[in-house]
Amino acid sequence: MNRLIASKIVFLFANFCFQQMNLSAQFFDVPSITIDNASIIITYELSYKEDSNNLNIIRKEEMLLLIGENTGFFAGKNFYLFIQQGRQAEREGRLDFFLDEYKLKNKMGRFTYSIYKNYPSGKITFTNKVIPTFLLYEEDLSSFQWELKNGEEKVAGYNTRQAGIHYGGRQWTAWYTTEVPINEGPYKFRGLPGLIVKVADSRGHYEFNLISIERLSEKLPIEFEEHDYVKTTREKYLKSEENLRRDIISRAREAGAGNQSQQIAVRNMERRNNPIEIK
Amino acid sequence: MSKLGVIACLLAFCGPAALWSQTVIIGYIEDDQKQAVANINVIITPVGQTTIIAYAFSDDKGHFAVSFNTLHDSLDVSLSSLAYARQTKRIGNQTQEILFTLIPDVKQLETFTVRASPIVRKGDTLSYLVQSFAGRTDRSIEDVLRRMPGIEVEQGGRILYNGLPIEKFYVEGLDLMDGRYAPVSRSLPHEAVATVEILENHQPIEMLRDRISSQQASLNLRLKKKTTYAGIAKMGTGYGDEWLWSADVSPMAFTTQFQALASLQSNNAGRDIAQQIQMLGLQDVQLHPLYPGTHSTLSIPQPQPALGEQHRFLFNRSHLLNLNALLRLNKAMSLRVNSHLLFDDGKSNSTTKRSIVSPADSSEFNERLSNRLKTNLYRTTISLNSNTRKNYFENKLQLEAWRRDAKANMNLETIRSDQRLNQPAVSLSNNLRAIFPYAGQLIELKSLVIFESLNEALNVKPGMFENIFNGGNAFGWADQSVSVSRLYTHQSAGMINKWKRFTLFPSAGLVLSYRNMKTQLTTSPDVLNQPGTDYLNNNQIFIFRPYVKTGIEYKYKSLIVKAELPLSFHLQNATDRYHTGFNESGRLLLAEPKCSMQYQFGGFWQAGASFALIQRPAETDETFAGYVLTQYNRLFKNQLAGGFVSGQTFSGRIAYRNPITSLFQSVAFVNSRLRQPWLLSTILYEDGKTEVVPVDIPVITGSQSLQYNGSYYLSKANTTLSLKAIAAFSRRQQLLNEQAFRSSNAHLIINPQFNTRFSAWMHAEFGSEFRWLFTGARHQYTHISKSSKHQLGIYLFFSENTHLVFSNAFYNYGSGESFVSDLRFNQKLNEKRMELEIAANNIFNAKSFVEYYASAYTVFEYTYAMRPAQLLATVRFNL
Repeated sequence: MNRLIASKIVFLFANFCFQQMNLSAQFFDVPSITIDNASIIITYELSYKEDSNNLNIIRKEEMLLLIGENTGFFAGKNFYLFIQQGRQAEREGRLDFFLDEYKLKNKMGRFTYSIYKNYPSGKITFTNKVIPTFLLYEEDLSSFQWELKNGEEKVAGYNTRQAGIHYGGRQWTAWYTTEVPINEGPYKFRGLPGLIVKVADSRGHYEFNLISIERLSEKLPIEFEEHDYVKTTREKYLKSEENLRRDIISRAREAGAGNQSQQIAVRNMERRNNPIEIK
Repeated sequence: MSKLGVIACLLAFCGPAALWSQTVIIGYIEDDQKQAVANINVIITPVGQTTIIAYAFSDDKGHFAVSFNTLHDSLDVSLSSLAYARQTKRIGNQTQEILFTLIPDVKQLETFTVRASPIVRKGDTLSYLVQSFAGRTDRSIEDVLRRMPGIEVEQGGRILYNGLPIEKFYVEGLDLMDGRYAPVSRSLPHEAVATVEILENHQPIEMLRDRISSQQASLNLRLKKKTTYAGIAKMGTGYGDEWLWSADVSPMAFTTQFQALASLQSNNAGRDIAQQIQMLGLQDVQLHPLYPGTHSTLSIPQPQPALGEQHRFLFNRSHLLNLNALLRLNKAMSLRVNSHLLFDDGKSNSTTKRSIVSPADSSEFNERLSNRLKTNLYRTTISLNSNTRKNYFENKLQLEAWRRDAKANMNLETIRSDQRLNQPAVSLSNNLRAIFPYAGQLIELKSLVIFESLNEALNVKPGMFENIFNGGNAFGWADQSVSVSRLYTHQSAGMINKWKRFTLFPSAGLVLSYRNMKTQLTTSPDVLNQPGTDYLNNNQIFIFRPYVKTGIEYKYKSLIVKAELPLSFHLQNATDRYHTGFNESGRLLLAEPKCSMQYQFGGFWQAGASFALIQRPAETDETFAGYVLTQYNRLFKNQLAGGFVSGQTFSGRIAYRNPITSLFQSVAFVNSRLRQPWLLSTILYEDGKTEVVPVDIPVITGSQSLQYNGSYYLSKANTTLSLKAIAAFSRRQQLLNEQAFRSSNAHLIINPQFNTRFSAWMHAEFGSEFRWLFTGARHQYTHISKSSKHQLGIYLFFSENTHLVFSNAFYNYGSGESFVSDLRFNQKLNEKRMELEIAANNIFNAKSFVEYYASAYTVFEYTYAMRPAQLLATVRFNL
């Protein structure tokens, strides 16, 4: 019975998310500006433990880093492809068909944020939809001050060196290689004299590993979607994510879930208690 | 800026201290065209070493500056980037300025190593060898799936790959369960499976693979043997007012060409297993215009407990056999059969107080009701699916036969009435969906053909309406029979075009419908006036309705405007063998335009509105010229076959949803006005019986509703506060005992709620719901029903495997109150792959529960007898 309810709540949530997205159905083909053109796509695998009470559960998701001339763009691969394909379908007039076939079964992946690096110049722009609003905040690139460490190590087939940084309440170590002269890396990390091939926090909760580097035969535009963003600060954004996690009960109720289902939803959300940025 | 100027600025930037303690290297980088080059890595290392002393990047103007402390005498300054050849200059350890000119050299992809994924893949397929992942305590393939990297199994049995739910679950490439795969993954022993394949980017519809690529994976199990048998069992027992049982046995078999899963379930513990075989969500057939669904004309009084509370009132004995089989015909084509056989025997006891509110007076009727409803259902769906790269085709042929035998014993204030209703029915339907590309567009064809036959018989003892049939004297019985057969077809084709900010979606279709209805009322031989042709029907209604539909959508930024104009030509022909007045044919051109808009602004605000004009033919299933005894106390006829319903609805909604403060509020308003072609005139007899006939007077119904929803999360208290409030009003012209008046109904519901998470292992919720039901005539509410419900739930999660739920509800209503408590304990016994659930329901043995309903000028107060206190222990294990 419990399992039935658990599966029902998942259904209700998928349904709820769909309704929410449907209300702002233009998220696929929103007006956007091309801020750069990417010639390289780097793929990382993110291993993460989002439930600090069950650290033996390790989830994985592939993440993309697009390298433009002056700008980097970082997002979940599933989310990026979903948006690209949805937009394509919408432009070709196949949106209903696309949605019908896809039923939006949480196919966007776990991570739906977009990170624009060095856009605007000297800043990192972070955007995400925290149901139901598109939020945006900026950070200074100069706030990322790495501490270089001595010694070399072979990681992912490259000679790498280490550098450390304290960011978002975690102590991070990056392995970067000067063999690939791209001063970029996964998530918000960048600014080392070579590509970051691995970065992990000291507690082993989040770890990005390089999977592949691909030079594109045709340049791919890096587009900044012009949603109706609410500009906020990093601190307020983290608070809104925390609120979503904590306040899921009211969203579950809105979706028609019963009392017990709401409690199970709370339990499920509470398992997401270990975000990448703690403070 | 001159180079000297640059140096001056950079030195100033580095600070005066740097001038004395640090070496500062500043530089300018240009290409062979003398253009400044940005974003170049600059690394300073001691000569002959790899240790990085310092690094920098060139800015938009090609400048860089780097400062450091080192004792080395000479240093290497290396420049690297993707677009230029690497360059190194050896310099002395002193503050200086350097100029670099880079030579373009685009590095090829091949120069980078692409690390292979840890799991070797073949195209888009990943294979996991089950043997190498299985642990000693693992039993089912689900246990092993949990151990596989990238695969996760949720509590409900849903399988995720890389955090995303899988799309399809195949065994040997066949989809037996159509998404309900948990019985297979949980019951199939892992020893039977050779490999688990993850099909990445799997698009199940082959012709869409090049058009819509999927990001979602599917899972396929490759079996070791050609034939595999497995199963699951769930057994429960307990005691209430009788010995209780609950059983579920589900064996299954798999071969490469044929697969089957059977499930046998039985219980008398109040669990409504019939719900399992009901479709969730909107059924396909409901999307077809003018299809009324299988419609019963006759009924006997039955209580309708509130949603979610049925298990408290259902005294049942239910048995369900669920059979699923799939046969692979060739590589692209498969045949699937899903069959359900249900024997459901339910009993309920209730009392009803029916209050009729009219301007003249109010009358009350009390009825005590004991019900028994037996449902036997047989349903088989045969699906033929062809899935090739050129087209997609799915055809579902469904045969459904059911029989409902309902019995009601009513004790009215003065008399006792026994009623029996038998409803055997059969229906055969065919539903086809095909997709094919044409001139760069995707064309979708749909076709539905349904034939159905429903024979109903209502027996009422003693016979009612003595004044009409027997000069006011009681008589033995009355039998009403109704036989309806119907053929319905709907064919349609549609496509989608896009032009700039406009999307056009034209479609066209044709509906053909034929209905034949025969009814007869017979009474016991002792009746003076035997029912004549006034109580006979043999009518035929034919509908021909071609339609075209044009839809247009305009989208710009966060504004969406949609408009739709369906135009249909409705031709209807009605004839009756006994009632010539019924014969009528009509032609109507119907237009039902509707439009809607949505706008988002200020980030947190959202507004939407919609407007629709309604113009549709009146319901034909309620149309017959001779009287029918539709209920023991209701004689009804409607000879007005023509006419159509018209009206308009308007709705608006504004919402403020701020995730930063976690404040969510919305207000919605709906206003509708409907004009129906006839007014139902009701003659109410003193004993509560009614005779209903339509009068050719149009009637207007108006309704409004206003709803507020709000929630706020108090982070300091870890508590969510929420409030829901609904106010709804409706008014309608009535004709009761030849007295015309306007009935008014109003509903008011206020529902505050608190949810608190004291800790990770303890949650609590408290909520109240206050309801007021106002009923009246001529703008005066003369009848008010009040009720409230207060709930307290405590959830204790002792561990991942153990939890306890204690829920309490206190109901308060005009005539009394009741208190219901339930306790449920769940424990997973992982080592043995067993799960134990102990549930104590209605611990304090509450006897009854009351609900109010209002319908026009009638208010119903239902008092249901509840299932007594019961204890049920259930164990689940694999066969």
